[in-house]
Amino acid sequence: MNEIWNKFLKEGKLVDFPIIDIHCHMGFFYGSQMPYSFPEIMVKRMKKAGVKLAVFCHHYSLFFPEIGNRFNIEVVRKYSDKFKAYCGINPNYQDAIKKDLEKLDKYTDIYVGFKLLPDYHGVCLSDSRYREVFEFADKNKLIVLTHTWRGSIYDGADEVEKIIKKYKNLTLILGHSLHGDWDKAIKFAKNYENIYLELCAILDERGIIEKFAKEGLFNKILFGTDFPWFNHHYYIGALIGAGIDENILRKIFYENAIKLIKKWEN
Amino acid sequence: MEIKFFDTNIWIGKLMNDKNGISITSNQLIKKMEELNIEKAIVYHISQRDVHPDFGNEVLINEISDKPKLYGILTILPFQTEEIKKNIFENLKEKKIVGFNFFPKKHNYILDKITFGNFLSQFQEKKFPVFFDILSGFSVDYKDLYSILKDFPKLICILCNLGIWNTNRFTWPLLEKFENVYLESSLLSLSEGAIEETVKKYGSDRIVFGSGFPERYFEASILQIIHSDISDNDKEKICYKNIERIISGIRYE
Repeated sequence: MNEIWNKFLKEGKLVDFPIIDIHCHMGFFYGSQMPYSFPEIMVKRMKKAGVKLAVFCHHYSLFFPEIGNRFNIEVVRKYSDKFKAYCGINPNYQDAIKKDLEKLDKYTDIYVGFKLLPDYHGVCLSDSRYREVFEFADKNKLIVLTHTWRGSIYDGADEVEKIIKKYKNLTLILGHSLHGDWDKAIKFAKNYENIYLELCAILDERGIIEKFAKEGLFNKILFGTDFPWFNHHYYIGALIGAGIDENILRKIFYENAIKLIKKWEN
Repeated sequence: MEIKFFDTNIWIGKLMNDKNGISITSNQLIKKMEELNIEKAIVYHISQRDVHPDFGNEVLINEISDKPKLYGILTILPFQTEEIKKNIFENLKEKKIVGFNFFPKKHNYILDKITFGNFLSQFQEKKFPVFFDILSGFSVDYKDLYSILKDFPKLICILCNLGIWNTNRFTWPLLEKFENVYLESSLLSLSEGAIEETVKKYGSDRIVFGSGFPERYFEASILQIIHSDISDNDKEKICYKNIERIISGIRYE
């Protein structure tokens, strides 16, 4: 086996391998037990796997409209070296979106961009209720992470294509890489400079990351786990197990993400 | 500390529609196991599921016969249709058969007391483990399992491929009520904190190591278990001692 595997097996983390998890959450979730879902324990678990930074959107921001993004802000303020947040967008509450956008420039130390969850909120990406967010992100060259899934009328390939044809300046991260619609995900990442693929829910299946690697998409893939849904060591082991070279692993685990975040900070 | 592994959740053979290029021969599997310090594995041949159990069982027995690292599990159908040859159950120890599996949703029958009453009672008495694949959709779901265990509460059940989302709400009631229920580790390892919390609540005796290879990566399951927040003694039980104990308890005669 390769050297990087032996190092991770022995140490669990590498000092010169500062992993960035670009797709995280926080807090309880109705659909399953998440025993390690609060910041104090998440920080401990991240340290164990050498995860330097988790970019998250709190479950309550996405599922509890009355609370908005308050927890996202509080957590990043408390653990500014461990977490950055996505501003959670629920398109069913336009007033909240307006307020969030108005205040966004006050929180450049908190947010790296926006998080969209069209399948759960029941609103298509191309729906007018998202327009203000996309226009804002495009104008200001911001990051948008959206859930995407094969066959979804809300965030499947057809909806993604409408957005990427229209907005060329924002950075669109396809959460779960259009899960199951791999050829479309590859096509979008190849043809559109501002499209990135994210690996959550992909590394529990052999053969997919290998397809992405075969297409040479090394600069367009980001490491994400939905943490605290899924375990970092499991995903790290899977990515190493796919037999990808160390220099490419470094791009996927952190170098590509650093470039995007720096772009936002600048 | 170097831990050895006994993998309980692997299939071998070629898928008829291998979109992701994951199919693997027994020789390729052994090479991979040697690379990763996996000493032994319990396998079934994919033809047991996707072609026919009677055909596939024979393929499996032949495949593992000259490979000391590999043990097998046979796939069963309802005996009323007489598709499974009776002689398949002869000399099971010599054939290195250490359990059975069922794919009722794929093979179109009901796995219950009406169909298999006497046979499942014999499994209980002889202490053969039954391997249930939950995630595939070809075997049983949790509702089916709850029903089977009501009728056969002492059945040794190894629940494999538990589900992608944390499944503690399904599995913990079974661990609480049925002493012979075990969880295969691959998708427990995937869910953040699931190994640690299950060990804390029910002990490490109730988990057996598995990878889900070739559908999932060996390295994922290994790295998570090795660096989980449980004791070395717990890791050893999960990685090989528990399954060795289960196999040594089988009454072949």
